[in-house]
Formats: sequence, C-alpha cells, structure tokens
Amino acid sequence: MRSVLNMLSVVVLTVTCAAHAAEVNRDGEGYKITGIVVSSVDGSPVPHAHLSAGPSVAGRGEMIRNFRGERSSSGIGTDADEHGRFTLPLPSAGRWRLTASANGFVTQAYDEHDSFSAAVVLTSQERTVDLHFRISPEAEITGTVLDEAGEPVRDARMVLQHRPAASPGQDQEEFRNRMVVQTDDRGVFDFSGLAEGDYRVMADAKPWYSTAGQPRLSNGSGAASDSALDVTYQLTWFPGVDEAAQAEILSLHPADSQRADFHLAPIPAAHIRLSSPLAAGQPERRAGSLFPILERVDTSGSGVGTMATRASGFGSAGQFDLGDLAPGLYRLRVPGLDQNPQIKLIEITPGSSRVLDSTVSGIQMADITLESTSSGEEDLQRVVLKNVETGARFRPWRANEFIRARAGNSDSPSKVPEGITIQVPPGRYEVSLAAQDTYLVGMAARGADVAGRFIVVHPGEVKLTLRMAKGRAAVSGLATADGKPVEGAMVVLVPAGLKDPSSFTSVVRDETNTDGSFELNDVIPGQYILIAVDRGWQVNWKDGAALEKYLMHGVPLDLRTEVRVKQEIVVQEP
Amino acid sequence: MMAGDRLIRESLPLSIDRRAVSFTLSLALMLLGLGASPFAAQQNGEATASPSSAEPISLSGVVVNATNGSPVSRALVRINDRAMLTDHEGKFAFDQFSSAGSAVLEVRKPGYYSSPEMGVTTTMLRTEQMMSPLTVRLYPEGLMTGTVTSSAGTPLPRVFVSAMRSVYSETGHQWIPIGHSLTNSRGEFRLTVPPGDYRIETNFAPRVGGSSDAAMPLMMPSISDPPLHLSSGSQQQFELHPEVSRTYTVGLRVESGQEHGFPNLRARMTDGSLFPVSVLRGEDAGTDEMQVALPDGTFTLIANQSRGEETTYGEANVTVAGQDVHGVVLTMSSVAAIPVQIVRDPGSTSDKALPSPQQLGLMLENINGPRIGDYGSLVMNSRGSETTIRPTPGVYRFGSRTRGPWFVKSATYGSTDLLRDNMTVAWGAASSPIVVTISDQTGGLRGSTRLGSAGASIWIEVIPQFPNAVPFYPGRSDLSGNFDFPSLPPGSYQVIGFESRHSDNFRDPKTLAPYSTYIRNVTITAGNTAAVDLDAVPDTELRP
Repeated sequence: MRSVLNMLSVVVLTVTCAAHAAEVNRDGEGYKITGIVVSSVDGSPVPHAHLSAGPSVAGRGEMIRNFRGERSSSGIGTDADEHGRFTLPLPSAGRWRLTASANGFVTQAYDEHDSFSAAVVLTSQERTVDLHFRISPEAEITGTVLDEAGEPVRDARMVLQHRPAASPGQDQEEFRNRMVVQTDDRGVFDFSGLAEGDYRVMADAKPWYSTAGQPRLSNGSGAASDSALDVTYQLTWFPGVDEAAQAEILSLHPADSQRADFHLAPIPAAHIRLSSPLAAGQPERRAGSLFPILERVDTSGSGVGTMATRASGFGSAGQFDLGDLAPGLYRLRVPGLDQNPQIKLIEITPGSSRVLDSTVSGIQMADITLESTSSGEEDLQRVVLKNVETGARFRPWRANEFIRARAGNSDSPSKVPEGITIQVPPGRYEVSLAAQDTYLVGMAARGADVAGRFIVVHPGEVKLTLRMAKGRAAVSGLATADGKPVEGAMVVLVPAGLKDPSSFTSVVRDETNTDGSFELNDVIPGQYILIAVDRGWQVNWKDGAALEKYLMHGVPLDLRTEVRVKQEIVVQEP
Repeated sequence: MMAGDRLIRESLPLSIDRRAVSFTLSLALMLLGLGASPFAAQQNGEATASPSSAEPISLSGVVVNATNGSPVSRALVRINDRAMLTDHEGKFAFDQFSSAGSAVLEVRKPGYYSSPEMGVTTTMLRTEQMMSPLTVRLYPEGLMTGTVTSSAGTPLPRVFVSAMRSVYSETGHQWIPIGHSLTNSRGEFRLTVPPGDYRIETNFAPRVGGSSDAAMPLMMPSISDPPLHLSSGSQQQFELHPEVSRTYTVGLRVESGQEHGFPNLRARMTDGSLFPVSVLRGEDAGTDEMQVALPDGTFTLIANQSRGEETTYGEANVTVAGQDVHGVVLTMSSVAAIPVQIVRDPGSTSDKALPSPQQLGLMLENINGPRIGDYGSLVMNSRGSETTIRPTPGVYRFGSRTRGPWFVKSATYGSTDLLRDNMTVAWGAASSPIVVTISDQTGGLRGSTRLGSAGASIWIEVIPQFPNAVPFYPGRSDLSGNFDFPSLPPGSYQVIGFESRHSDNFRDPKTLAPYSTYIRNVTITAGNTAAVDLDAVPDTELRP
C-alpha cells in the first residue's frame, strides 16, 4: 500500500471513496480477517482492542486521520476479546485497510511505518487472513511554559513537530507539524497519544501584558508611552533556542514520557507601519476587505509556507500599526483596490529598528515570476522552492483564490494580469512541483543561475521558465522471496540519477500488502532501479551508503510517460 | 500523505479554539448589550464629570486580591494611554499624569477578573478620586478540576467537558458555555472560570479511548438540582462517572434537497434530554449513508440546517438493540413560518406609528436546557409588511428587549399566554399566529441612590411584580447618584440597588430575601413618574 506522497490537494483527502476496490462477494461465503492484537513492547495480548476495516485504495487518502486524530474508519468493526483475539467478517474480497485502537495505545494500521502500512488482501482463494497485529503503547511529551517572572504562560500555542525515519536516498527527513495544543492556566501542556519517533517542540506565545495587542482605552494621541511593556516572545524551541536547527530532538520510544519545560524571555517588539491603500475619497464599502494581513513565514523547514497569522493593528488616519513582532521573516499582504494584492516579504532582524516602514523591506528579496512553456496556471501554483540551506519552503501566493473570495462577483475578471510570482530571500533553492500528474522536466531563468533543479537567486527580478510534462508512470507487482510473497517489505524505486542535480526524478516507496503486492503510482518518467527490502523499515538509511548494496541486485526500469508496468521483484535480506 | 495528516490533526485544537471564541464572543456581546444598553448609558452621566485641572499629578495606588487583601504583583495597570506592571507589593505610580477631568482605568492579570461579575473591565475615575491613592480589587477566578472515568475507574480520554454558566439578564435566563476542556489520557480536566453559578457537562463521546464504547452525556449537578456556586478564588473538584455503553453503527441518509452543507445532528433520549451526535464517517460511495454511533435504546434523531432565511428540520426514530442499524432516513423539510401580528392596545395613543418587531426586540429563546450547542434565541424579523418567525420544534420563552416608549402588554400563541407560559412548537402541527399587543401608556421612575451615607453610582434593578416580557430592568445611577427610567409598563415593582454589578434571578422572591431591608416597593401608573430613594446593598453584604 502506497502513501499519497506528492499529492497535496486537500480535496483528495476527503475521507471516503471507492468501495468498488472490494469485489462483490457473489457466492456469499464468509470473508474474514482473524488474529490477535499484541503490544509491540512485550508481545502481550491487548484486550478489547477495537478493529476497523475499510476498503484500501492505493494513493487515495488511506492515511488520513479524522478530526479526533484517529484514522478514518468505516463502519465495519469489531472488538477483540480479553485475550486480544478477534474475528472480523467482511462483505467481500479486496484490499482492506485494517486499523486497531485501544485505550493507552496508538491507533495504527496493520504493520504501519510512518505513512505506510500493509493492506490485508482477501481473495476468493484466500478468504481468511490471520494476523499478528502489533500496536504500540502511547508515548507523551508534557511540560510547563513559564514567563520571565516564573509565572505561567497561558494559552501558549505549542507546536509538536515530527520527523519520519530516514529513508533510502533521504538520509535526513524534515520535521513537519503534527499537533498543536494550548497551555492551561498553569502553563501546562500535554502531547499525548504519540507514536515512537523523533519530535521537537515549539512555543509560540505573546506576553499577556504586551501593550501592542491591547485596544486603546482613550482617544489619546500616539501609541502607549511605556516601551518597557512593548515586548514580545520569540518563537522558542525546546530547550530554549530560537533556531529550529538547534532544537533538541526528543526521540520517543513506546510508552515513553518526556518533559519539555520552557522559560520565555521578553524581547523588544518591532512594529511595521503602513498606510492604508484606501486613500481619501475611495468608496467606503470595501474598507473592511482592505485590512492588511501579516503572516510569519515558517523558515524552520517544518512544511508549507506560513505558520502563524498575525492580523493586528488599528487603522487611524489611514495608518496601520502591526505590532508585537519578533525578529523573523514575514509576509505582508495588502489587498489592493484594483484586485491586485500587494505581497511583500519583510525581514525583521534583531538589529532592525523598532518601527519599520512597510515601503522599505528589511532585506532585498528576489521577485520570481513563474512561467510555463506548456502547462497552465494551476500547475504553476504547485511550484515549491526549498531553500537548500535552511529548508524553508516557499510557494506562490494564490492570488486568484484571494480575489475570488473577496470579490464574490462572478462577472469580475479573476485573471491575475501579472502572472504567478514567488518572493524569496536570496539563496540557493531546489525547485519541485507538488502535482499529481504533471512533472518538471527542465527550467531556465533570466536574472538567476539555474543548474538542473537548483536555482541561485539574488535580490531583484527573476523570470523562471519551467518546462513541464504530463503523464506520470506507475509500477505494480508482487514482491517475493524463494517464490513466496513477502508481506510488509519496503519497495523502492530509486532514480538512476539520484545524486544528479540535473535530474527531476525522486524516490518513490511502498509497503507490500499481506499478499506481497505493491503499487507505486505517480512516478515521474525516467530511469530507475527497483528494489525490495525485507524489514526495510529497520534498515539504518541515515547511512547514505546503505542503499548501495541493494541497488546491485535491483531491477533497472526505464519508465516512459503514462506507462503502467507490471514487475515482479525479489525481496532482499536487510 | 503527511501534509493532509498534519492538517487534519492540527484542526482539532484549532476548531475548538474557534468554538471557544464564538462562545466567549456571544457572551461578551450579550454583556456588552447589557452594559451598553441605551438606558444604562443614559443614566451613567460619566461623560459629564467636572472638567478641571489639566495640571499633571502623581497617580498611585495598590492592586489587591479582593478575597484576602493580599497584594497582586505584576498586574497590568492601564490608565488612558499609560501602562505599567505593579511591583511585588502590588503598587503602581504614574508620575506627571495629566487628564482632562476624568480617566479610564483598567487593571488586568491572568487568573483575575476586575469585577465580581463578568463584563466590566474598565472604571471611570473622577479627578478627586485620582488625588488620593487608589485601591483596586481584583477577583481571582474559580477553578474546576476533576476526572472523567467509568464507574470501574477507567480514565475516559478526549471527552469534551464544558462549564455552563447560569446567567440572568433582562432577556431572561441563559446557560452559557464559558469554559471547555478535553480530558487528557488520564481522564483529567481543568477549567478556570469567572465566579458564578455553574453546571459541569460532559458531551456524548463515541469511540471513547478508541473502543466501541461511548461515554454518555452527564450533567453535574443534575438538572433537578440547583447549580453550583463557585465563589471568587475557590476550587471545586469533580469525579464524573458517565455511563459507558457499547455503541452500534447507525447508518442514515439525510434527504434535504440541498446540495451543500450538512445538518446539525442531535439525538433525543426517551427522557427528553438531547445530545449532539457526531458523524463518524461521511457518505459512502456505495450506500450514500453516513454513520453515527449510538448505544442500545430508542432515540429520535433530529437534524436541522439553516441556510439564509430558510431553516430545514427533520426527525427520525431509531431503536438500537444489540446490532448495527442501517437505512435510517431523515427527510428534511422547511420549518413553517409562524406569523407575528403586532396589535395596538385600544388604550394607547393613536397618533404614533407602531414600532417594528425589531424595535420591540421580540424574540423566542430556546430553553431546552443547559446543553452544549442547544442555546440561542430567534429574533423576529419582518420582510416588507410581514413578520414571521421560524422556530424548529421545541420549547421557547417569549421575550422582548424593548426599552422605548412601547411595551408588550400581552402576547399569545393560540391559547398560550406567552407572558406567563412557555411556547411549545410541535413538529408538523398547524401553527396559529403570535399576537403581540403593545401599548405606549407607560410611567416613569426616578430617584437617587446612596452607598452608606454618600451619593454614589450604583447598579439598579427594577423588577416587575407581574407577568412581563422583560423580566427586570437594569440600570445605573450617575456619579452623583441620580437615575431615571422614563418608560416602564404600569404596575407594581420592587427596586433594589447594588454597589457592584450583580445578576441573579430577581424574579424569584428567594433571591432578594436576604436584602429585604434594601428593597423599595413602588407602583407605577401611566403618565406619572414615581420617585424612590435607594440605599445600595454594599459588596460586603452581597459577597461576605
């Protein structure tokens, strides 16, 4: 069963679809999954676990958790007995995704590893599959957030970031946001129900007494005179650092309980001043939609674009004051009257003056205009620039959506005349396309240096022309050892030019199902080597050389556009 | 895919935040509506404080804990555009402070409220008050902690726990969710709330701890008992044991004729109590059924959905008996409009234009009980010359927010006298109009207020001793102690004043019994203005 890596459309993630993945049981003979649920720690049976099955559709949101943080489940379910034994009758043959949940254990799919798991395959020949279903006791991270006076910080936004285990060709995965909680009146927070793995914790808070965020009491002139209270807290990673890269990585094992306490220290807050685009004499009716929006750009490499919205400030005499700001990179969006929002990056550095005028950017940015030789605007919206050094990711601001949402008027033109742009700080970036079918095949730039999928930009205007193609390939088949199918093996498509900066291909993985089948979808056409590794999730892929020995016994594949390849693969020992 | 994974997980606390915001917001709006009603403002007279010295002064004071007098350090003191934190002795001082006669003071600290009742955060200071050191009292919040476990002691994680606050206002009695918390993996919860009267409520929690079991909703104290009073700075511990029942899947289809949106789903138990039901799984491509989990028993599933002006409603009975149920159909249909007729009382002056329902603030308030997601009121709106209201089936209390020259003299719905009894709206029953008779034959009430021996600005309640659309009329005297209620329905009243804002069920004679010596009885007749002088109930007596 394959993860839906590279498919970012949230729309795809809607919970249910395709019951037709399961063939209808014509003769009414009982299909069922039986087994025992055991603890991954000591193998002891887990009594009264709840099991739930739903049709598994490769690449169709099977790993999506519902709002409770549990995996989405169909109505087909059963409870294990006091010895952990269960029998789950199913209506038909097919690939079933089976999850188990129990109090005190992490809800998991069968043989789950990061975002992969093994589907349980029932056929008219094999109507029953018996499983040894291992689930892990929950781990937790708890802590307290205190301020400079040792008093609790209430309502701090605590962000838990998780890093998947290293994988072939990717000896260091990136951290991504996993959970957000708030501190209580004691400053206490609690991330519970965690699976084993690498985590780090960030605190995002403002001093409660900070004057910038408070409405004024009177119509007095000017801002608060007490600058001692015009302070803020920097985003702080455990154990008290303001750079994500220096954060302590908490490696949790099943049933672990770790602490992450914070002491926040105030720093002088910066302000950004800007004039309202609503000049005198403009129609009043749109004033409400002309509030500037300031977002902090997430440069920790933890994922998509921005992480916190700070829309503050009060308009007086056409001026906005956006206060409470800690040093960092911000994106300011000022909706324009002519439907063209002005977007600009502003960096506040520790040495910046306290009050910045929005017309002057802290640093000079590269203004990249995107162009495609073949593809439409929609694909250009999915371009991602990742800073090679910091891991910060930048995406185009979806001007279109903004205008549609604001205008709400179908007859107004929603075309963005200026094309799609990305503004980034100077540096070296890796360009990729987070699309499902379209892929990058080449690029060229004016005003910047391009080498393969990498681009080096300097302050100023850049025109980046992308060559794209459609028609990703797919590989499916059976993974065997000694002629027998192997369940839970790691199947990997490794690009022949893995280390080649000019290659736009990337690694694609899957986990084999209970019948040894696998499916690798949405593969960028190119030259690959297909390998399968038994218990591949236990291999230490942090060692970049670990991959080499498997590649020697791999199957070379030349995948053309839109091909559907069937390929048997022999599973190698780890 | 991890991105989606993360998105959805993140949305859990976020969505709850939003609920909190909207709860708080609605409360704030309500209180704002109270405090800022034109009537109160009219009697405040704060803006008329003597304009005197622009000479800079040194303004100082101390912030203390109202319950024990101990200093509150690091409290934020704001006066006009100046601000500072108190020192370790709770003291503050602003040098070279100048104001034009009066100043706005606000003192805050997390865990404290600036008044024993919610809603008041700022104080107006007169020049003479600024001359001597100020003592500002802060009221510590109340704390409710506890555990939610099965009767066998198994912790029930991720159960939604709410503190429902009992609030009496001029529009009636409401239960307002004021704090909420999800139990942690040990079943613990913790809620900080302003002092007041509360019930703790846990939501229906299907799939509790990942099992097939559901924790049934629970209320503490139970609905038949009086709410729990949580005084400033006090703590209350709860051990909640909701009934834990095995649940079964109920597959249902909503036939609404609407393409978008999703109805709000609730289940009514045989005892009449309601709880929100969450959908565990959306429509299946194969069956078009969405799934909810319910324990054994007979329920009425209730769906309602609002879209613009229209509200649709549907009911379906379902009996769960030891196995899954499929094929339940909820047919949604439009809620019938009940016409509202406004009639002039024959005795009223005939040359005035009739007020609109909006001006009268006519409303129906849902009183199904203190249940999450089940409070709210419907305001009567008119479209052209027609006024209608579309209440979904339930029990409502009729009310009016009028403060103008017109008052509701009588209101009927069929044979129901809406000033005395609640209005029951049945599903599918033919509806008669609501007939509201109004009159402008009002009288006035004015007088002065004292706190101890001095005139003072105090909070006044004028409480009708007869069935009335407005349960009581709050107001406030100005800084010299004068007040004026120009338009009140004729009848007998009790009038009482309090040093600080106080809301309670003033229509219940028991509420005011302890303060009987402060109560003044007065009869108001049309066209006349009665006079009454009040001694305010001091805080020391109100909250000993």
